[in-house]
Amino acid sequence: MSRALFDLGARLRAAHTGRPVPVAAYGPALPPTNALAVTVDHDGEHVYVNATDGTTTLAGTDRDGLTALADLGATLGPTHRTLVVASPRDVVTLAALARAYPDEPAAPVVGWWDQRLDHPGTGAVHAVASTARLRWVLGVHPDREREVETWRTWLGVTSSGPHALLELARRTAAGSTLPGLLDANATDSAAWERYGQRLAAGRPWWARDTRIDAALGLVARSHAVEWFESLRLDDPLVAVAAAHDGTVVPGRVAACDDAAVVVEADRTLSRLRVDAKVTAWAGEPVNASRTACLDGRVLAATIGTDARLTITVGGLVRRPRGLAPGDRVTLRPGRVDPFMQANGRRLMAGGYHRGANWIAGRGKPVARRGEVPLDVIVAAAGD
Amino acid sequence: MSANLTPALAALAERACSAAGTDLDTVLGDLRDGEPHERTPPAVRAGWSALDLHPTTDQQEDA
Repeated sequence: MSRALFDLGARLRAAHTGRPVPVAAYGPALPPTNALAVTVDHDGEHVYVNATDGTTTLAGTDRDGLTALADLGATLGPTHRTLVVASPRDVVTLAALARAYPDEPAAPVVGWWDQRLDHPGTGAVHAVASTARLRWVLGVHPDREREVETWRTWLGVTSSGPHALLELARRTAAGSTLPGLLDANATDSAAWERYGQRLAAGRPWWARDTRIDAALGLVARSHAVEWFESLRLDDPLVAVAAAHDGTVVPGRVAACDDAAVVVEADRTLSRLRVDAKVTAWAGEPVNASRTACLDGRVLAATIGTDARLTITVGGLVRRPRGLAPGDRVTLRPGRVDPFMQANGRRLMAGGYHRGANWIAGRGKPVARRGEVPLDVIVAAAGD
Repeated sequence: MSANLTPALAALAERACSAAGTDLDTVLGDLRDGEPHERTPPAVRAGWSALDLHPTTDQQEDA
């Protein structure tokens, strides 16, 4: 409720001023690379494609639509290009079109865009409406923010069709990029190179993933989600909003020694579970870009008789220097390290290729019992 | 008071304010016209003023 009210406050401000209200201090997307902007329309029988690279605009229906993309440079080459679309649904439609005409030169590129779409933070696909929502809130009902036309009006973009998408993508990515987001570019390039190598080796682009690829792909997607969410919390305005849903917890140091730090939270609102890795910076949520002053794990989270939430952080990575009772700190979940994630995937890949790994289709899974937190069981039952 | 809100946003805001134990006109009077009111939820006030906490690229470009 608190987060919903926070968002409402920003939305009312936007309505009052008639201007978009920033909800991020940094650009939440990489600037489009050699972008192709594409509008996609379909009537159940045909798919109508209108595409531009910023100078040339081409249109086509069904197979001709894919030909238009290829003519604009959407072919397998040394470097990938950014696809700019109105919404993720357009990529799904394009992917279905590509599967209908798999021999078209643009078809495998569309297949790659479709894969990368599942990786938040990617620079390969820019869905205009959903990405703009990471940067601004508008003075309209949230449902209307899903429409490109709404963004075009509020951001004063006078062009239309794919040119408007290109302009909106540039504006959304303008200014300082979210620190750390450039890592996504290296990940995209590696994915593009690997994709090209597999196709060159004769693997059809439309072939279903092997069991190992499917498992690793799932992990890679999951890692991308965790990494991007973690990165976003380093944006001061994102952190300010996250303090209203308990993702980050501002408070005051109540006690501090070399073994543990006790933080008295401002509100009884926290998503930091016991045993979760946490880090903290000195000051308020808006000071999110500051260096960490505390790294450890949540040992306890308790609400006292005074109805105050206290969080005890122990297992400290280093002594909490410069912290004293009374100091203001903001706790957040531990930062996700993309290199550690990549190492983890490499280890998993090694495991899948070795011995009797059942995920790779060899042997049978061994049943093991483990403890599952009650809230996980309840959430699963809800699904 | 909610004249410059679209009907859909006004309805959403009214529901949210009602659930928070207040009403939209009171909240808008507080936020827009500077009539501080204790019935304005702190979270709404925080969302309204979050923009002022940090100079964003947008503001830098405007300046």
